[in-house]
Amino acid sequence: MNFQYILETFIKALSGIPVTLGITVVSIILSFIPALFLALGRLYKVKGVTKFAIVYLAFIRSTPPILLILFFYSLFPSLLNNLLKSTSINVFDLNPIIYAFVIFSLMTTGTLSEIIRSAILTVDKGQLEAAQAIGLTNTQAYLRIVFPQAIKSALPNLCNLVINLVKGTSLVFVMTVKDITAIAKIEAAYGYHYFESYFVIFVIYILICGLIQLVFHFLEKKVAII
Amino acid sequence: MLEVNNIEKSFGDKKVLDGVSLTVNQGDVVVILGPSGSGKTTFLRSLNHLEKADKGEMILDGVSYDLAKLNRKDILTIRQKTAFVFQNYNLFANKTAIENILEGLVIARKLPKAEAVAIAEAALEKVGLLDKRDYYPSQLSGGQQQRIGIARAIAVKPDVILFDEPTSALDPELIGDVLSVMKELAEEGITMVVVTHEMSFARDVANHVIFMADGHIIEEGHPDQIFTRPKEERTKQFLTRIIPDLHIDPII
Repeated sequence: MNFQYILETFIKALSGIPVTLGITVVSIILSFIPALFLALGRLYKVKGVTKFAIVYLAFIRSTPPILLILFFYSLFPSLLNNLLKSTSINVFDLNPIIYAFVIFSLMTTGTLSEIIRSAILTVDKGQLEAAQAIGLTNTQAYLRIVFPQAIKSALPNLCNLVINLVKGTSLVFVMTVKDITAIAKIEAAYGYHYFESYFVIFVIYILICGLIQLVFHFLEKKVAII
Repeated sequence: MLEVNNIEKSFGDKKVLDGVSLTVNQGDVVVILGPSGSGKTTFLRSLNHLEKADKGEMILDGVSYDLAKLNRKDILTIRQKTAFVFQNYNLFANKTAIENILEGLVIARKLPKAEAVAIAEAALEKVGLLDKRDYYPSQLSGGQQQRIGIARAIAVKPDVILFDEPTSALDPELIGDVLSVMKELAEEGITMVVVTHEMSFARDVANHVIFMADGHIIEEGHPDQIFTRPKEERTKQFLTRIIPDLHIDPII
């Protein structure tokens, strides 16, 4: 055990936190609208949306994230390059973090749409009808009555989603994106300090995920009605 | 003031409303009776488009609507002129009693907050629950929740209040409070259409009783006539089953 080394690696790996959290936050932001659209489309049995949602979910659920990463990072650029051959755009210049955004958004959209759908279902439909009967528009009824209650039952699942996402982003090292894991791996390989490096990221992930759980715990308390 | 003609509605193959018509005048208390599955709730719900009718015309406040082809604006207009009291109260669980009432005033009808609060408090006072103004629905009994539901309906001063079995989900000892509030409203001349199984309310408060079965109006008239001299066999059967000691004059 080399404490000096552990401390140094810890500080270096901290610089990967913005990347890890960045991918997490961007994925959630990018997937929110499509997920909401899929969830409402299914709830309202909009033609096409239900079928699409079911197929999409089945597809995205059964795909190991690493496969998506390998596809987008290893195969997709070559495909794209062929298509864009005549233009001056160089696909290989693209920052691979963009692929990370896309991959994790695709995965989050599936999970999030199911979280939203089940959360809306927990709010008794009668309240929506009461809101409509009283003269609120559908949008007002959802924003003022349904969503504030749905969020309460969605929070535990959302917490799971965020934590899984944070941990899941550790795969991006495959794409040379320098997140926490990637930095630690590089450090480990450099001086053969595998145990120390992995211990460091273990601690960092525990801290991040612990903090996220604290935040959600606080939020759950905040939205509890009484 | 409210007139509906020939409403039809099917769920799949089953025709639940087959040409139901109704005329309601200012101050009327119309009670709709009938066995379950007769279509009375569906009929009531189609009046404010909680249920979309397949066919039918409605005249409300002098404006005629084709119930099968309402646009968003029509629906909103109709809903702003009516109010609905639900069997399961359907209070907004994330709002306090007074907020439940304010929603329709401030958000839907854009009244200034202070004015809305005064109206909402008056409505709470009327149903005897002003002291519960800041309670959440989960802190109230069923009877209290339903009275808040009624307060929410009267506060918006609708042309007509539609009651869908307002006492059916209540414990017997709580029914009385709700019925007496409704009776008071009737005496004040508030126009109501009530689907209920409370025969005493139908007999004592209504000025027009409709008996429905299988999506049709079987018989309608003044409660005195319906309860003592029903013309139709079907009505008689229903009434004697519900009120065993009912005295029906023999048909001469």
